[in-house]
Amino acid sequence: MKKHVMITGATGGLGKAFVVEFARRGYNLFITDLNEKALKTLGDSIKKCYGVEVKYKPMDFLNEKSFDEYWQVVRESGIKFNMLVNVAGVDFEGEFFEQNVKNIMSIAKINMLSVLGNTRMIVDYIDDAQKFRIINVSSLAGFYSMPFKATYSASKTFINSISTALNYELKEYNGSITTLCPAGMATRNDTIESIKSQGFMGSITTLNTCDIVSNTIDYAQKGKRTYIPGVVNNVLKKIGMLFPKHVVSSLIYQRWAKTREKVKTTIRGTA
Amino acid sequence: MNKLIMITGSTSGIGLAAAKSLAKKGFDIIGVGRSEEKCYKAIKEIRKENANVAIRYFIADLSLQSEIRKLCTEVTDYIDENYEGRLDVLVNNAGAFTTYYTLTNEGFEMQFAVNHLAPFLITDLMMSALKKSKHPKVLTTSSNSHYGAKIDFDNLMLSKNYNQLRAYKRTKLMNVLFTYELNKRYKDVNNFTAFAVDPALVNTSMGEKNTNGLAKLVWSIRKHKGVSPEEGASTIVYLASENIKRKDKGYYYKNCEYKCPNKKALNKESANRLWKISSRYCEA
Repeated sequence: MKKHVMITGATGGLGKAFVVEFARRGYNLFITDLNEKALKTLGDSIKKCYGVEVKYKPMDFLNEKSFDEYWQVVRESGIKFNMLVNVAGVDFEGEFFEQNVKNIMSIAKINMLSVLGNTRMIVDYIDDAQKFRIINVSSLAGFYSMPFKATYSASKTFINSISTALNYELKEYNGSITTLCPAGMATRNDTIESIKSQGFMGSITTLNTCDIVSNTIDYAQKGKRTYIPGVVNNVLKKIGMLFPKHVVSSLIYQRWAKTREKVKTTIRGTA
Repeated sequence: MNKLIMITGSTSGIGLAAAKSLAKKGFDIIGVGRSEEKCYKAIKEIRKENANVAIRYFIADLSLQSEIRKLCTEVTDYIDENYEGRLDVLVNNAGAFTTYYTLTNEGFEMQFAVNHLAPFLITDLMMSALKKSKHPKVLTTSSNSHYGAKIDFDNLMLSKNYNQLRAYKRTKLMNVLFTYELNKRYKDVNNFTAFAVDPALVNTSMGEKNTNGLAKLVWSIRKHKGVSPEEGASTIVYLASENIKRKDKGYYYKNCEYKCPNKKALNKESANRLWKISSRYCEA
């Protein structure tokens, strides 16, 4: 029997890598993102190259009607899913008090509501005969309270927290959640620029997306709860846990204050 | 009527140098670049020494098949209108080097898409125009680095254990395999020849565009040891303009001379298999 995976944020840098890796592994795909044309471009190409089925339907998490329509299409497809990958997320970099209030609110809404909504909805459409796995894309930022990334890191903390709790409730459904907590990821020119601006630290904390994605799927299939890619990142996280939260925040504040001088452009991304 | 040559990646480096020299030798030029501004600059530079050359640049991002299709339709229309549908030489010269595993919006690894699939698809789409030439030629810029490469068909785009240099080398080996298969498949077309060109180490900025850290440093040091783009383009100019009698398997050229490529690039099965996979990947 073919396995089915649903992937949100599928046409972004990390989303594309998940789509390709699952297709390589022979999964049939159900993919979503904001832009229908981008979904079609990617979906058609994946179908042709890997011989798997690809269904797509755009969805805007900020729009309730769009959410309902999406799940209507899922219901009608009759697909029973084996995996859900919540990649969709946004970030608008910059100081909280200088940001557009709509942007701040959309970070919280998209990053948190999409995970809540999809995780609740998908259990009605899972393949009972097999184990069910969810991958939630969080971030190393989720372990800290990060100045200059305040809303984003808080939204990722939310994802870590709810994933931990739901892991217990999901046992009844023979399921588990794995949270992926990467540092910066080199998926697009702007994120690569951002990593470059962090110099040496940027390059040693950055892994290739294909390896991160492949490991994450392996971790999820084993039912592991958290995956932090890279030895350096694991060490950083462990060191970070030794100190009181406000000490870590202060250190991050000082480091980012310097880096921000170098990066003037607005960066959007899910890292 | 002048001979017509189409050169991709011709707004800087080897491609631009080749366009300049070939314009001097009486070729009409079709250039391809990614940015309008750079294309204008290239035209200006070529015209500096060849004021009256017929020259036209087209803009396309060769990492995307949709853009390649659009490009080749535009170029074909232009050729139909001005050259009775005939293209004499195609030079697949555009190349990319990226530090990190990056995917195109069509889901292909970037270096694989630009360095291998683009030449494959452009050649396919321009073949009917090439067939109208008396001596059609397809040149593809490969590299010395292909000697150290291997192909793993289960992991063609290096989506496992990605390494920037390994991915680059592999696409350059693909260029030679592609050239080998191209000669085989079109041997019945009158005087058709395909060549893989080793431009030697050339002082261009390619390795610095999307890289960082060590790779960028190594590239910036190494490139100073490299020859000038003009010297690097000399083999392209030679192969495009001279009447070359192809010896058996003699399709890999460096410094205007035949050179034996990596033995793996002469493997019939690999060449055929790569061709078939590429056709599937490039289906409309």
